[in-house]
Amino acid sequence: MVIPSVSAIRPVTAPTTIDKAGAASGSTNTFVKGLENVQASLDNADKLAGQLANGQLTDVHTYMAAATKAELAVQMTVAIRDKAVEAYQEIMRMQV
Amino acid sequence: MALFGALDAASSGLTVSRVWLDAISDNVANVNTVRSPDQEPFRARMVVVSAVSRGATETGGAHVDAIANRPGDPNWIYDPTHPLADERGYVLGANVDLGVEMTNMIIANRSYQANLRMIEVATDTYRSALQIGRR
Repeated sequence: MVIPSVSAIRPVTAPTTIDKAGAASGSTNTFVKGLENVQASLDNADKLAGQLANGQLTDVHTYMAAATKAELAVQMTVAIRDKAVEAYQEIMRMQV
Repeated sequence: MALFGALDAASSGLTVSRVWLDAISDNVANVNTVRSPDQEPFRARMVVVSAVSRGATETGGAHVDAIANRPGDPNWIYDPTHPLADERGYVLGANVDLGVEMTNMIIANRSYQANLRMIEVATDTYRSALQIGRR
């Protein structure tokens, strides 16, 4: 009968760091990229508004289309945020 | 195909229609323009449009490549009292056909309206999509 020797108690080591970037790389990065796109379309609309004001822009519809696009992009961002917050709150209400 | 690509394509169509209307306006304004026969006569402006390629990032649409002059024989007008007339009494008129220009004007106007409607419908569609599952 083999009696295994008592192994030494291992020293307490610092917990392995949570790879935040890895954990968050899924939807969050995509979301950040999307936000950057929204910001770019807002910037574009702003730029065109300035050009329209000082007479550089000859097409009114170019600004209107850009502004509509920016507006839709912001509405889309808000919709995604609402969904995310809704999901979070649903989980927080869970009975444990 | 970018996000809200229909808006980009329709916007490019609006630009084409606007440039076309500008060209028609130029032609109608110069319908009575005459030049002396040793000069190049006024020639009707024509808009040259090409399609933009459609791919992963490009949204398609139309693009104005150039504004060309309508070719053809010059419009000789006999008017000996005209200050620009040559020794035979001829001046060169513009090769603008008012009937053609008026027809084109209506088409350009309708084309602009169609693209505007496209933007309207596309915006409504995207907006309805954002309403999915909303309480």
